[in-house]
Amino acid sequence: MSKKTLTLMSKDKQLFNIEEHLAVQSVTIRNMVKEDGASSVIPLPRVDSETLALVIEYLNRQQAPEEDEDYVKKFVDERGEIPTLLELAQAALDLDIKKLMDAACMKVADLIKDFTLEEVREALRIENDRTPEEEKAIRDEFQWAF
Amino acid sequence: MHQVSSAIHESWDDLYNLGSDDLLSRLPNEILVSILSKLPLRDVVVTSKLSWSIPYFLEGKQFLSTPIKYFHWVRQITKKRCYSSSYGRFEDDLLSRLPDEILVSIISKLPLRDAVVTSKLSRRWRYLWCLTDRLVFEARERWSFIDALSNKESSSKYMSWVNHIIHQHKGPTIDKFKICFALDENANDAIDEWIKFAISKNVHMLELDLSGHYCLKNILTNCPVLEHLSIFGSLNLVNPEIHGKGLVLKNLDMSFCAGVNYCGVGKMNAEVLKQLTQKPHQRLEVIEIDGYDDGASDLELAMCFVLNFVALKKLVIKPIMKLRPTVHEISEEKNAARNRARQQLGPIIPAGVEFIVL
Repeated sequence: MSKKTLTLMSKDKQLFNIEEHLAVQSVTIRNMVKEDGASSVIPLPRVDSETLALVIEYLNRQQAPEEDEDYVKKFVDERGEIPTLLELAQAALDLDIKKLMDAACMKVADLIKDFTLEEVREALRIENDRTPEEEKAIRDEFQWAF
Repeated sequence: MHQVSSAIHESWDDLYNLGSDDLLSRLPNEILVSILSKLPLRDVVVTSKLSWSIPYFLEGKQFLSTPIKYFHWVRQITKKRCYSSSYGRFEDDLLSRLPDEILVSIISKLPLRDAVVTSKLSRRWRYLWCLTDRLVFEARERWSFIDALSNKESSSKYMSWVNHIIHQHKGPTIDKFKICFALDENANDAIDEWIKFAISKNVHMLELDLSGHYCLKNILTNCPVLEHLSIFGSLNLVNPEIHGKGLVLKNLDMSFCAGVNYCGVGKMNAEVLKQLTQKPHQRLEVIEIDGYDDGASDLELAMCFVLNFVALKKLVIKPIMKLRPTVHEISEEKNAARNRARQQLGPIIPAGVEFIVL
């Protein structure tokens, strides 16, 4: 029996092939396959091609189960850039690949945990949109911080 | 000083702009450390004035005196690089596109204090931390039992911290809940409430590192999803009931849970564990008996495990010594206790179960 191949399409319309038995690590794809055989192209409207290539690389890994944890950690370690990690987390969320999503978020947390607030804002491109009153309210609220 | 600082800042900016954008990100940390360790100490100190370095780097000269300590500073730089070198890719709407779920997942993986501080980032982040699935209440520093008991202020501050956080927590479930502080018996009611709270949020891992007088009683009933329970230093652990329909406990760790007297260590643990052994248990894989005294009841207990815990993979025995030996006799008596445990249990351990005597 030949191995069945699925085709995934990124938001910029690039196509990626992957063997079905590997693709079903994604719960989303597994459910699609169960429902209608997913013979046609599976569109992923929120995942760009660069990120999808990473996800495909991840799904194609050939690791023994006991080495898998280390592999996943190394996989995200090698992509230590916050935007890449966030895109990866988003893709993993859409595809429901919990391990990858957790690892990507873990890596982001690891990166930002020593940052000051300003640095976190800079790193994540967060605009401080709070009014001075809100700032004060939150400062008061933090009185109890241990 | 200020001029030097901005000069260095500029030269680092130059580095960012060097030919290929990712040059700096490709350099391993070892090279940066090695460059830094060749800089005059003064320059390194001054760099700590740069906006992205950490203020406490300047605290204490000894902190700076060894090259290896530069590493911390270098890590800051490499962390800075993790977003500097890829500004181009950061699409402006990336963060606004991301669902809260991802942000909450990131927050959940931060230390609790940092997680709470994210509420200061912006309006969107204001209450996101309340959905975190990890409540790990680590004290800032490790208090010894005596210190903590003599310092009522710190323990009441710790308690109000925990209470505040719990009060604000909105997430439906908790993956890990950990209390870690030496609290006296006045805190018992509060601890009961905390555990009830954790169980009500379907906690998976519950760790109590109390080093105190907490008396765990009939609270741990009906926790159908608790997988990992760790209790450290509960001096009056008496007959806690850990049961309930469909208990899924996979990992149970009890250390320094002495009863009223020294010899009771193993027995008190035994009481706990016996309740687990009433039915064949499908999932518990690792059992550690701390304070095994090779008496009849401990042997019976070990037998219970071996017969009922069908998934058992590892049995760890830490024997206690029969006598209170003198310093000279200690190693001899330790060996004797180990040998007794081995002789007694060796024959009944089924193949496939790892048997370790410490």
